[in-house]
Amino acid sequence: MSTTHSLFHSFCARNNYESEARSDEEKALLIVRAHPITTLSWLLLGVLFAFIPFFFADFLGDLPLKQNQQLFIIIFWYALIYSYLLNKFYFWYFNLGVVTNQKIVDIDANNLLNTQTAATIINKVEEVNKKSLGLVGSFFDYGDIYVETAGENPNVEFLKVPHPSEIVKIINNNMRAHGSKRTN
Amino acid sequence: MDLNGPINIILGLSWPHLIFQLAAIIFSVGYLGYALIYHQQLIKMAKNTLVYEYLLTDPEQTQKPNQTILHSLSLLQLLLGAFMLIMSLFLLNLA
Repeated sequence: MSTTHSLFHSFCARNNYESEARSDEEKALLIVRAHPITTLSWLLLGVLFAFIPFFFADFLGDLPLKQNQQLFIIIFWYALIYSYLLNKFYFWYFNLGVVTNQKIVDIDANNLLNTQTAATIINKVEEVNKKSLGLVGSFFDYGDIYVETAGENPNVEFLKVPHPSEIVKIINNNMRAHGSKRTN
Repeated sequence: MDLNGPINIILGLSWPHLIFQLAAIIFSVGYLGYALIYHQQLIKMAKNTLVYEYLLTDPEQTQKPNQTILHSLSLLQLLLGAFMLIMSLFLLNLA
């Protein structure tokens, strides 16, 4: 295998990224998503919501509703939870950071109908900074990566991504291969 | 003109249940509409992502990124919406 997929496909990297950085053909060196541990908050919330009908069963029984109407309310409630979880998963899965040997792309799915893509070519990259995210971030090894670009090019951000040091290393190597200006 | 017939029908209606059924239909249609938009956007975004996934994997590797689970989950959401719409249309007014 020439690629490594780890942490539920949140960190997919090419093993031979050093040599591939010099390739003329465009090749992706790295695809990152937010660390899976960051999804824990909405997963737990979904589980918590799933238990709510059990606590309100008596209240629902007291309402002047037919049995099939009560059943509809319960089905609708679980359908909403299902959609909530699916929606959150959509945002996690499609919020991508991609580093190819020619450019860096940041795809942000802000909501279902609004997706923002920022891309910059490697030669335009000025600086790469990483930011650690406290105790939890250090423990699970995730953080933010900020790629600053020259002029009016949009800045690229990879937020809460796993192995930030490794990502900086890959981008730095890529910049060196293309003779870019400065790396941090 | 004899209005007793229509008036009797209106008086005979169970208003709380009728309102409940109307609300159920509106919510089901809304849910189904959302599920349709979700599925459409999912297909679009999956295509975009696939481009990068293929740039990452070598051509000799036939391993295809697994997005079928996500599509199936989205179809299940559509199915749920359709089921709730049918339930709200036909089942709620049954005794």
